[in-house]
Amino acid sequence: MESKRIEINEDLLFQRRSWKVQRAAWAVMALLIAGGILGLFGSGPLSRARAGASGQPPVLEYSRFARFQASTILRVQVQQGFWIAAEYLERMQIESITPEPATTEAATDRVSYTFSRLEPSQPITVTFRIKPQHIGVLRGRIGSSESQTIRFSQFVYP
Amino acid sequence: MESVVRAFAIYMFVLLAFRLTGKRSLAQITPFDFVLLLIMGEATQQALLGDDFSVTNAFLVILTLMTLDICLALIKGRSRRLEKWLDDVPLIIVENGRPLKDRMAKSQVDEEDVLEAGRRLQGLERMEQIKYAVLERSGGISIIPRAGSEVSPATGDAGLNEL
Repeated sequence: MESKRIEINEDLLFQRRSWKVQRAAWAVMALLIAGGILGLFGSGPLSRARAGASGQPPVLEYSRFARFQASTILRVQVQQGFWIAAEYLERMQIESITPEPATTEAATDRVSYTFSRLEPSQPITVTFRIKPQHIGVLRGRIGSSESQTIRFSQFVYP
Repeated sequence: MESVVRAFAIYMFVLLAFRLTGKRSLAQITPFDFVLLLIMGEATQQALLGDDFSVTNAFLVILTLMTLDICLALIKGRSRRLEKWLDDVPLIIVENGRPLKDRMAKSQVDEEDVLEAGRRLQGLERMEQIKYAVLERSGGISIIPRAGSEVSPATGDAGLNEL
């Protein structure tokens, strides 16, 4: 490089390396945004999940990915009343249960809900609106008297 | 503990994000850049406080941010390398009236940006009046005029009298 009379702290080697790192970072950013759109960080196609034998209640719809203190929805389709593992509920703040349960009964490891029925032979869908209060992997269990336990897990981002 | 971790994480993330998007985003020249900075401020506010609006939480967050600032300043003083990584280095983009196109392209600066700085800072009219144009660490452009070209911006006459 020609000598300059300007005193300046230029560092071309560092600058070129910087530019390479920047380009790589832009690619990472694009990937993260694509992930966000697809639901990798909650609310999107990658995040929606179902558990339970399809077509036969109880069936659970939940989000694989959730965020700390952000509402997420849990939907249960049941024939009768059902229970949810207490350790799962402890880590959540329940904002609403629609329809409201007729009874809520607590045991050591579970909380059991029953609902008043208009048509006892038809399955009903219960929607929980909940906010995770813990970060990390959350394991839950849901079951009812007529079936096996449904296990599911969610990852809560900070 | 949560307040400190939040403040730390957000500070680091925003710092990293700015360093990675390139210098120009800091310079606030156009409404485009200004809107970006404005909205980013709004986006981070909620994340810093969470749902805790107590005065104590605000104090903790502010203290954490200031402490981080002091720590980084001290570290920069000790390590030249880290200072370069955190603060960037200046770059000459015009030399003796000739724009260095490769550098300008990589830095996302175009000739109009340089000419605008020339008009604003030195009252210069043409590229050839510029001896050096430097893209500073802040994202702004400094102009060193060629000897004999300096015109005070306040009295500079763009030759509009002829109209």
